[in-house]
Amino acid sequence: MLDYLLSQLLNGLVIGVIYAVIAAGLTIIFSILKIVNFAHGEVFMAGGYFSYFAIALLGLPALMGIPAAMLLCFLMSLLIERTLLTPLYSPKTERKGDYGVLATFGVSILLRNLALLVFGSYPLRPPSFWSGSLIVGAIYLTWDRVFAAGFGVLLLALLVWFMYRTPWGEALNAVGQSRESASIVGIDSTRFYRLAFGLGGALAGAAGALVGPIYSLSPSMGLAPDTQAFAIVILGGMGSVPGAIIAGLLIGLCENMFVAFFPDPSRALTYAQAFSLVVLMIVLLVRPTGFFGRRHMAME
Amino acid sequence: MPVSDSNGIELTARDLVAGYVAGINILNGMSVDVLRGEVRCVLGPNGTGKSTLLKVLFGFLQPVSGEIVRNGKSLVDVPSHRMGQYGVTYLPQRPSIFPFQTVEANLRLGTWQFRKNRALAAERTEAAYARFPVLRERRRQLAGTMSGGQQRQLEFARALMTDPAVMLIDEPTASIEPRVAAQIYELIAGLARDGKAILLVDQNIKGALGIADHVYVMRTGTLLEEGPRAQFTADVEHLVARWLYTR
Repeated sequence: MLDYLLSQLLNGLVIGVIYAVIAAGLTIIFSILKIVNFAHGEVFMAGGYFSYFAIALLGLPALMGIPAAMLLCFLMSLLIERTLLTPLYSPKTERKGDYGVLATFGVSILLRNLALLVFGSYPLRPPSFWSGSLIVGAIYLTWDRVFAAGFGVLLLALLVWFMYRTPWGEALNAVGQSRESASIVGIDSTRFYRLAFGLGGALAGAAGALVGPIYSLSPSMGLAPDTQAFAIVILGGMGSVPGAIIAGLLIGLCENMFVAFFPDPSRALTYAQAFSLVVLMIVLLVRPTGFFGRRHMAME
Repeated sequence: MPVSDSNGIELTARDLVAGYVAGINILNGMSVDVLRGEVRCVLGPNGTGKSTLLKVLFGFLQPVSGEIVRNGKSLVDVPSHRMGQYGVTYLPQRPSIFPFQTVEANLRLGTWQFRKNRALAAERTEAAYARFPVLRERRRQLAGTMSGGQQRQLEFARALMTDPAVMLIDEPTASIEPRVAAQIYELIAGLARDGKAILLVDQNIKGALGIADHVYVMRTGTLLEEGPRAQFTADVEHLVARWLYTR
């Protein structure tokens, strides 16, 4: 029983780290641009495919698929931001939040169908980063999962360092609080909008590349993690990177423990996502702003 | 370093026309001069375009027509985030501090334009702490958790990090208790004595007239009258009556 519990706990941590990476990207975009990016799941999906084709077509080593996916997702996000999101910065645009939702929702549908058209509906499986499994007693975990969790933790640590220990992170935080105040101290907010959207995309791309060898790739693979990421961002407090990390781990753990101990195992997986939403509802009843949420969050 | 005009004019604006919506102008030909070592005060009833004037001067709002000149260069097309490079800073009515960052981080952000010159940034930060000791005591505190008066001090300290020649200040004592408001007016007067060119927009007529060298009175986006402080201090009630009833 203890081995089973530990196995579920470790698997929960792995998926929790992946959730945290996706949600951290989503929350950065929200905190700076003040929009909910509905295309985030599709950028995650694209990251998986970019990694796959970087390995399969260019012959890169499996590990290099991750930086390739991050770079391409960063560039793709910049393209989306430059072509569709610049009206958000204009004082002439009314209801910016609504505009952001509609624009990114459109991009999400476009990307998913493009993937279906270009890559087909059959699942693709990139090669393992690290083949084999970790077996300790009755605890069983593939090395790909261990690697994904380790790399995810490294990415999150780098992100926290960037956000809280570098002048660029400090400026990004300032732009998120007030574009007008940032301009007063000489910060060009537009550059930071670009950086935030690109950075969020790169994180989603990294997560897509990391889960490829674990779950396979498909055009609709971004739908479920995207929904979970929204719940995680709200749970952690909208706009908070540490909140997204903690909530991601929590949701990953809760989800796995729920599946492990649900009385009817044949239905457990079906209800897993609903269970994380129950956790979200309970937390919001006690803390309406989530763990580390800020009260004011609207585009100026 | 920018060199000012020989008459002491650091910033001049002529015939500014501007508004937030096409066809509806808030400023209708407003002109001002901001002089080195002087506090120039803009007074007028609510909604007359005083704050809009500062927003236009700082590049937050593009004028429909008119000219803004500093040291012979037009500032009309200069974006707000580059105004600091031209020696102009702006303190809006709502304190522009970053409430979720520490006092220290707020001051550090004030050095953004010259952040690579660490020696200068450290020197200016030390000068800010010397001028506002409360900020040194609270340097690790989140700025948004300080009192309104302390937040204003932080805003002034941060604005001074770039050693601006021109300061555009909008209602610095709004929602501030009278004792602290008096300190803020004294601070502004001191900055002018140090050579700063200050354009002050205020609803607190007596407070502003107490430190102003020159007064502009606005009404419906235009200049109703202007002159040295003495012209207005004798009869403040009459001044208010004039701007309320003049059409």
